Amino acid sequence: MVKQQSVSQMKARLSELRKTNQRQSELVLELAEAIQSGQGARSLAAAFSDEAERWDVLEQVARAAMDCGRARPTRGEEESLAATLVKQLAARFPESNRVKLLQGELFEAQGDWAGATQLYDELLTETPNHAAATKRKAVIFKSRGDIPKAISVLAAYVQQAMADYEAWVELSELYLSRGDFQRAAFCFEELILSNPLSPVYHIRYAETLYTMGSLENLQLARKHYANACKIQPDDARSLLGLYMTCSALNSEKFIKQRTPINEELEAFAVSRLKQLYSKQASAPQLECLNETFSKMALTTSS
Amino acid sequence: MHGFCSDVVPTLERTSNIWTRSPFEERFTFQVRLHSSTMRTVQLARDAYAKIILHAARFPSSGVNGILLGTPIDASTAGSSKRDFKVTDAIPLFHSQLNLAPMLEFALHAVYAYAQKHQLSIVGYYQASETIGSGSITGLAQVVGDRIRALFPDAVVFMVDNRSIDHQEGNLALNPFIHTGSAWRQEAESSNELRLSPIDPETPKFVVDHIKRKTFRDIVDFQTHLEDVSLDWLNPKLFS
Repeated sequence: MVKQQSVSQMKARLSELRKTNQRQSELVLELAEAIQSGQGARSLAAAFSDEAERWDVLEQVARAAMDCGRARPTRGEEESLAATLVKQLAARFPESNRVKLLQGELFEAQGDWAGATQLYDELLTETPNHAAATKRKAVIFKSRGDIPKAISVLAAYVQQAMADYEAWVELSELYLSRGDFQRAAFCFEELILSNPLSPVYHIRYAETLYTMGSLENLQLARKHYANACKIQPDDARSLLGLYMTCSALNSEKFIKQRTPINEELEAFAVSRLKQLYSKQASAPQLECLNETFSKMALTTSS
Repeated sequence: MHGFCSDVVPTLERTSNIWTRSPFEERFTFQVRLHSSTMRTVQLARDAYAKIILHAARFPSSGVNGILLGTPIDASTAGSSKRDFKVTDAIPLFHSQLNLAPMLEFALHAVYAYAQKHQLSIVGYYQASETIGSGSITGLAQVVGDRIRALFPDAVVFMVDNRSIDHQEGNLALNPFIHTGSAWRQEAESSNELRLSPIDPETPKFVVDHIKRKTFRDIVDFQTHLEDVSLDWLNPKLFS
């Protein structure tokens, strides 16, 4: 996957992944290994002469290592890759809170909840609203299967850190996993308010509303799906969502509230999807789409 | 009520609750043809199982789910019951927000349309949880399982056993669930009610090999397809 690139290209790729905050842990590990052997360096740290870059990379690779089962020693290792890197960072930055946080994450990856919690509590004693430490504590509850506690920690956190989108998204997922669609919807409302042009939140909000199912929810879902279609044309998920919502509104259950706009939007979604599939999807997929539409038209009869 | 099912002649080699043939039982067997247990055999195709595990491997930090397709096994074959079936394929569906309804509903319709066209049935559902966990059945799995049972009463739910996904023991990394009539219940791979058997004995090895080769990078689920419709959730060329 990374074979044909030069060392500097690979370093640039690592840097790009850091800047865009992507979680591509396998790729990061492969790049790190390739860079180290490409330079003939005896350690990853030694492969980066630029000091500023070196420590960022060690932190990035340590996290990737934790993601890929390298938090505990594998066969032939005395110490895990992640532990080695964290140790090197701790030696270079002994008083650092950033390293302490990483050490906490390592404990988490090793399943040492008590050790991790202790470090996060130390960070919180020093900085009462330390964002990362609070969020990691919430996630420890999640890892241990205690979703209600995770929710309560995170819900308290977002009350005072309302601009933290990542936290709102995680909170919405926790609510969804509990089937608490009402509260998940509230999270999406917050996210839409602060990111009105992001189609993702409109789509997820619409999907949550559809799942809740009443007439008002479906009508509101339709609005948000339509908005998503407008912001991001030719997105299959928005178009299908629009179709499903209109289809539900056209059903027997809501016969009294039928409107022409519903039929128009449904027809619009179907036609756009067929166009999209004709242009981009394989023949069997297009065929399946057509079949599915005809079958569904039969079941939602008027 | 144990073991009364209309069609199959008693087979004493199966585990039976009725070993002692009392005079009462002798008479009874003439009136009601006795199936010695409610056992069903579920055969599992190698590629179907591999797709389940590779789907989970593709998204290691998320829960994933999908549909199982299959066919009944010919009931006239000796030793088989009307309830036996083969899982021939797995259709990966989602890797986030698993219990949001609209896309799940559409996906079920689409997979059903595909299945009908190819003389297949939807025979079950699989899910891998986000955390290592216990592999116990979730609310969503029960709801989808119930939906599938409406059309295929002997449907199974497979919860992936995240703990044994490295296949070091050489067993299938699955917790199979069947419906007892009132609830979903976990069965061992071989019990009085269920025999889950891979058709190809090399199935675990095959999966480990494909994990090592990172084949999971190429697996497409319904959600990925929605992001780019040129990708096919049927995964026709995954193992070639």
